[in-house]
Amino acid sequence: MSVFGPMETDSFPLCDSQDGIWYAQRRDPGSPVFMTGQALHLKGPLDSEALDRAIAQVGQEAQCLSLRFSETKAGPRQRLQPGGAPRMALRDLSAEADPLAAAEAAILAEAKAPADLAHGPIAGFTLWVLGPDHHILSERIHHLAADGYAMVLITNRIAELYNALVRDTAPGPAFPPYLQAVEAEARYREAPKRDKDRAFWHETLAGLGAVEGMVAGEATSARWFHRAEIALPETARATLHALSERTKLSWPDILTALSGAYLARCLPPKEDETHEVVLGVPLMNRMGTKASRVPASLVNVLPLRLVIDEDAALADWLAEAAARMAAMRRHGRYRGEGLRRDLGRIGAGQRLHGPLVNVLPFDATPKMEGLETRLQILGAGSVDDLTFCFRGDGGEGLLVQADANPHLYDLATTQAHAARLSAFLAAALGAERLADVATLTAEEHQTHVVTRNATGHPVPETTLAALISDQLKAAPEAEALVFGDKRYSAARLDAAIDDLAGNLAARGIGPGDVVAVALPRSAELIIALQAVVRAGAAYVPLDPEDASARRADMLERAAPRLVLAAGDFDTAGQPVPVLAPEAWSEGPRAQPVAPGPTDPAYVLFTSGSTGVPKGVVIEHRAIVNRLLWMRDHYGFGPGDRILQKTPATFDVSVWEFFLPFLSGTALVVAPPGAHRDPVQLAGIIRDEAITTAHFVPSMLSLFLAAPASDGLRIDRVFASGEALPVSLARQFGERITGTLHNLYGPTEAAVDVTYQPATGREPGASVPIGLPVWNTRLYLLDARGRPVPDGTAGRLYLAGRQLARGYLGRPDLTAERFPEDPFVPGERMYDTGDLAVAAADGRMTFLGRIDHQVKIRGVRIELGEIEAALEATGLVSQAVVLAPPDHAGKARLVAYVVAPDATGDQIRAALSGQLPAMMQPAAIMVLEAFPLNPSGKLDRKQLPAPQFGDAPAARAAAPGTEATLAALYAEILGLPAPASAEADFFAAGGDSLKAVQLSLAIEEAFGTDPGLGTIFEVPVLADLAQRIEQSGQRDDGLGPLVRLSQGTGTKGTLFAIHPAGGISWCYRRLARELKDWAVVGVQSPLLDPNAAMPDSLSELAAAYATRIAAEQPEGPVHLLGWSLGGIIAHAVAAHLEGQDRQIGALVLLDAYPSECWRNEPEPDEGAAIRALLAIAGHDPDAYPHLVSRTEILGFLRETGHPLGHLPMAAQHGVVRSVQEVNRLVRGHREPRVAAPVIHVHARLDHAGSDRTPQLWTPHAGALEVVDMDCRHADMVSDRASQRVAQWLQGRTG
Amino acid sequence: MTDTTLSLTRDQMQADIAAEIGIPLAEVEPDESLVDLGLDSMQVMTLLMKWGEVIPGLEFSLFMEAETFEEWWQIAAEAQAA
Repeated sequence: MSVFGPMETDSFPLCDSQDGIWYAQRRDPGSPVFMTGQALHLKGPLDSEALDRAIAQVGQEAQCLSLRFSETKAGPRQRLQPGGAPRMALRDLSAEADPLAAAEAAILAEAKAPADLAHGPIAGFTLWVLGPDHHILSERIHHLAADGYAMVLITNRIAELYNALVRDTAPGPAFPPYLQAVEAEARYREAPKRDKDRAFWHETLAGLGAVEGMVAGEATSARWFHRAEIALPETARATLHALSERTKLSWPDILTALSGAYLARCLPPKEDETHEVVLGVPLMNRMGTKASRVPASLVNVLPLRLVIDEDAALADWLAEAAARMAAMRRHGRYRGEGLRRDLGRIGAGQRLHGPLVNVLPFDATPKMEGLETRLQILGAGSVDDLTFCFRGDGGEGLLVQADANPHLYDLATTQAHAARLSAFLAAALGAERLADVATLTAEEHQTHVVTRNATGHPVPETTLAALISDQLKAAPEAEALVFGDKRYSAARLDAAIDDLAGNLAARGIGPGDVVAVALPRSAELIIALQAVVRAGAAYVPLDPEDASARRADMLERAAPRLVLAAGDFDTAGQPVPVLAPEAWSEGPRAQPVAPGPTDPAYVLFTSGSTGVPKGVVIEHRAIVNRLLWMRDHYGFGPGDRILQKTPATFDVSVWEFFLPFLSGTALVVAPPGAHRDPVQLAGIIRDEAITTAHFVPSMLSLFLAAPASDGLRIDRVFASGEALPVSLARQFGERITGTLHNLYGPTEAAVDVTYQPATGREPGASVPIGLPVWNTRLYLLDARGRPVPDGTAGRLYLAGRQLARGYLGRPDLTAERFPEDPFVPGERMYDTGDLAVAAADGRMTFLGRIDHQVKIRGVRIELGEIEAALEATGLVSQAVVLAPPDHAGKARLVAYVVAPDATGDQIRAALSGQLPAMMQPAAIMVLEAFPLNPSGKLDRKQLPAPQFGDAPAARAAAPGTEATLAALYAEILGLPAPASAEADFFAAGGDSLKAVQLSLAIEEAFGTDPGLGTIFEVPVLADLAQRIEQSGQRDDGLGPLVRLSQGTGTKGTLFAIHPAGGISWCYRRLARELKDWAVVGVQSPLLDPNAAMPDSLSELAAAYATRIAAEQPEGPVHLLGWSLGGIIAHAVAAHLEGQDRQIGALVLLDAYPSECWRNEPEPDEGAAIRALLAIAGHDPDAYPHLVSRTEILGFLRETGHPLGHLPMAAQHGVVRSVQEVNRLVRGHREPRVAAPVIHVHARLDHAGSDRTPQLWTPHAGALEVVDMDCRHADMVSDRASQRVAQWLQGRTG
Repeated sequence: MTDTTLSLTRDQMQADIAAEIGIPLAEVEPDESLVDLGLDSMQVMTLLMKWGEVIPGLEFSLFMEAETFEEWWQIAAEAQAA
C-alpha cells in the first residue's frame, strides 16, 4: 500500500527573458524552431574521450543545460534537474558512402526535433564520426535555456576544457551558477533604473503608428525557416571598416542602420512621406551585470525607430542612427515583452517592430588543440518575419544571412533579399547619400528594366485610315457592319466612309483638325468615326445625351471644325457647324488628305482626379500598335464577330470601332442603351453569334447574374476599366463557354498596355493585369524613381509606342504626367498614379490608386478582399466596398451591395465569420442596382451616403458562445462587466499568461481547446466566438471517443470510461498530468437522444470493447473508470480478455462492484440531475439548496464548469445516462477478469458502509489498493488527479 | 607597487574609456555604471585590444561582468599584479 508524500517545490518562475519564448513555444508545442543549434566541424586527430569529458564537465558547469519546465495556473516555472544535462552521444557514420552528406542530413533532422521541456533533455551534444580525422560536434539547446551568446560561451568552454585535458593544463574559471543570472534579473526588476528605462522607452515610442512588415500577414514563427546566406564582398568589408574608422562609428551599428535603410526600400510607399522603419534589434543584455558570464537566455529584442533621411550626408545620418542605438543600449535591459504589454501590442497585427537585424560580432570559431575548426549555425530561435543576421568578427569575413518565415516569404524571395541586401550595403557604404543607392542589384535592374520590357515587335509606321481602307477593299463582299436590320458589306461600308470623308475634305477638314462626333450608337456613328479618320482629322467623341457645362467646356477646348450630330445638337454657344446624318449626302466632295502616323487619330476626354476633364491626344502610330497587337495576339480574322456596346466616350470603344475593319471581322453594333441591359445583350450575343465582347467588371458581374447569360458561348471576353475580381473570373468560367482576358491601360496609353488571361484560379483577390503588350515598357518605381523589388508595391509608369502625345492645350500637365524615361534616353514615360506589384515572373497586379490607400486602425486593408468575402456569402450579387472618411477624418468601411433577397443584417451575420472584426464594414447599404456611368463603370458619386448604425458604442455579446466568452474575458481580465463583442483581449489588458488562462478556461467551458495561437490570431471576442463555434461543430466533445490529452503516449493509451453521467470530461485534469500517456475518454452513446438503450451493462461494455479495440488494434489495453465508470471499465476488461487482448492497467477510481448498489433505490430524475454536481466534482450533499435543473446548471456555469454549458439535448442525455447506468448496474453481475485490479481508494468516505476495495478480490486476478486521503467526490480534483497521475507515471510499463 | 610601475595606469584607463565613449574625463566616475555612461560591448572589445598590447591575458568576459570603472580597474590591477 502506498501513500503519497508532499509534492516537490524546488521550482521557481521563469525569468522575464524567458517569458516571450515560453509563450511562443506554448502556442505551438511541437515546433522545433526554438531549438538553437550549431555544428562544429573538426578536422584533424580528435581525442574523443577528452571531448566526452569536456562535455560532461560543461554539463556540470552550465546549469542551464539541466533545466526543466512546467506550467502552473500562476504561470510557467523552471527548475534545475540534478544530473539533467545531456552527455555526449556518439554516432559513427564513417561506414556511410558519403559520411558528410549523411551527417548533415542527420544533424538537420536532429535540429528539427522538438524538446520535451517537462522531462528533458532540453539540450543535446552529438559527436558524428565521419572518418579518422573528420568529426562534427552538433550542439542544440532550447532557446529557453540559452541565447546565441550562451551558445558561444558553452562552445568556447568545451574547447577550453578539451584543450586543458589534451595539453594537461588547468582550465580557466568555471561558469557562475544559473541562479546568479536569475538574481541579477530580480535585482533589476526592483531597481529604480528599471523605471527610468521604462520612461525612456515610452517616450521613444510615443506616437508610434502601426508597424508594417514587407508583406501583409501574421508574423508568427512557423516551425522552421528559409535561410539564404551570402558573403559580404571583400571590398565592401574593407569599405565598412574604413567608414567605421572615419566616422568613429562601430561597424555593427553601421550595418544595422544600413539594413534599416534597405528595409525601408522594401516597404509599400507611404502617403505621408515619412520614411520611418522600426527594426527589431536583439541586445545581449549582459554587459555590466552579474549575469554576463552565465549561460542562460537573456537576449532582449527591442524596437529601433529609424527615420530614413536619404538626402542627408551618409556619415551624418549614420551618426544619428548610431546615437539612437547607443541610447537604446543604455536602456537595453527593459524587456521587449514588457514593452508590448505596456503598449498593448500583443496579438494579431499589433507589432512592436518589423524585421530583425542581428549583428553577431562575438561568435568566433573556437580554437581546439591540433584541430582545424569551422562553425555552422543551424538555428537561432524563432523567425517571426525576416531576420537579417551578420556573422563573423568583421576581421576575417562577414556572412550576410537572411532567415525568413515561410508563411510570409518563399525561398526565392529570401535568397533575393540576401543578395540584394549585400549589394545594397556594398553600394551604400561607399555612397555620399542613401538617395544615390539603387534598391535592386545590377542583375535585377537589368531584368526589371530591360528583359521584362523586351517587347520589341515590328509594327508598320502607318495609320488607321490606311489599314482599314486596305482591308475593306481586300474582301469587299465580307459582312462588315450590322446594326439591327442594317447590314453592310465591306464594299458598301467603304463607299459610305469615302463619301462622308469626301464631304469633310470639301469643308477643308484634314490632318491636324478635330471633328466632334456626338451620335447615338448606330451605323451612322461608325461611319462618322471612320470618315473623320479617313479625312485625316482626329475625332473627339461627345455624349449625345449629356448637354451639361462639361460638353461646353470640351467643345471649347477641343475647338472642333465640325460636329457630326443630330440636327438639334446644342453647341452651347460655340461657333461650330453641326452636320446631321440626313445632310451627309449634300454638298460637294473633295479628295481627303491622308493622315500621317504621327497625326492625331482621336482625342478622348477623361475626368481627372481634379474633376476637370483632360483631352488626351492619341496618334495613329500609337493606336495602330495596340490594334495590330490585339489582332495578332488573339488571332482575330474573318469569322469573328465583335460586339460594339461601349460608349464612344470611353476608350475601350476604340478597339471595338477599329479592330474589326482592319482584321476582316464583322462589327455588330448594339442598340443605344443596350449596354446596360443584360437580357438585351444576351439576346444580341446569341442571335448574332458574337465571338468577342468587352465588359467592365461591374457590368460583367451584372451580366453574369442575369439568368439570360447562362450557358452563352463567347469565345473571348475582355475585361478592363476596373480591377477584375478572381471570384468574377471564376463565375465567368462557370456560366460562359469562352475565355476571359484581363486588360489594363489608361486612356493616356492607347487603351491597353498589359494583358493577362483570367482563369479564376489566381491567388489573391484580383486577377493580375499581367505583362506588357508590343513595344511597351512597364516600370514599377518608388517615390524617387528607382525600380522596386518584386513583391514590393510601386508606382506604375508606362513607356513605349502607345503613349499619348499629351493633353490637349495643357503643356504643363503633359510635362508633369509624361516625364522623361530615365532608362531610355530621349523617350518619355507616363505616370499612371496607380499602385502595382510585380511577381517573380514579372506579372503585375493592380493594387489601386496611389492616393486611395485604405487603412483602418493603421492597418492596410484590401477592399477587394472584403468585396470577395461579401460575394462569397452567396447573398450578394454585386458588392463594392469604399472607405469614406467620417467627420473626424477616419476611414470607415462602407459596403454597397446588390442583394435581392437579403437584408443588411443578414449579410452582416453571414460575413461575421468570414472576416476579422477590423475588416467588417461599419455600414452595409443594400441597393437595387449599382449606379453605372455611361462607360459601364460604377458611378461612385451616385452612391447614397452611408447610414451608420446609431450605436457606434460597443455591441453587447450575443447570448450563447459570445456571452460565455464575455464572462470569461471579464473574469480573467478583471473587468467590471462582461466584455463587449468587439473587445480585443489584448487591448483590454490581456497578456500571454492571461491568454493561457483564457485558453484553459475556454477548454473547460466549451470542452474544446482553441489553442493559444488562436487567441493571438483572433483576440476580438466575436471572432474568437466564431472560431470556437466552428471547432465545436467539428468536435463538441460529446462523441463516443474524446481525446483528452495531447500526451505523447510513450507509455500507451489510457481509455477512461465515463461515470454515470456519460461524459468523460472529468478526466481532463488527470489527462493533463499524465504526460507520458495518451488519454482517450469513452463516452456514453446515450448522450445522443436517438441512441437505443442497451439491455445490459455487459452489452454496453461489449460495445465499448469493440470501440477501444478498433482505436487500439494491438498491445496491452489500459483502462480506468471512476465510480460507476469503474464497474463498466471492469466489464470492458472482461470482454477484451475474451478477445485475447491483454489488459495493462485496470484502474478503478473509488469504484465498488455492482452488488453494493443492487439494493439501493434507483435515482429519480431529480436525483439524476443532482448527479451532475457529483460529476462536476462537487459533493451533492454540500448543496442541498440546488434542486432544479436551472439552478444546478446555473451553479455549474457560475463556477466555470463546462457541464454548465452543455447543449440542451446533451443535458437530457446526461440525465438519461445517469438513470440508465444506474439501472444497468443493478442488473449486473461482475465477471472475473484475469488482470489485477488497481483500486484507488478514497479513504475519507465509506466509513460505516460495507464498501471496501476487497470486494473486488473475487472478480480479479489480483488486487492492488492505493489509499488516498480524499473523498469519493474529490477523486478527479486537481490534487487527486495529480497524485493519481504521479503514481501511474511512476509505475513501470 | 605604485602607478608608475604599471603598464596601464588608473588615469590612463579612465582617459581611454572617456575617449572611447566620447565624454569628458570627469564623467567617468568610479562608481557610475559604464553602460549608463554609454559604453557598449564593441567599445569594450576596442579598449581591451588596446590594453591587451600592454597587459596580456585580459578576459573580455570579466570586463563584461563588471559594472563600474572602479571594478574594471580592480580587474586590470589584478591582471598586472599577476
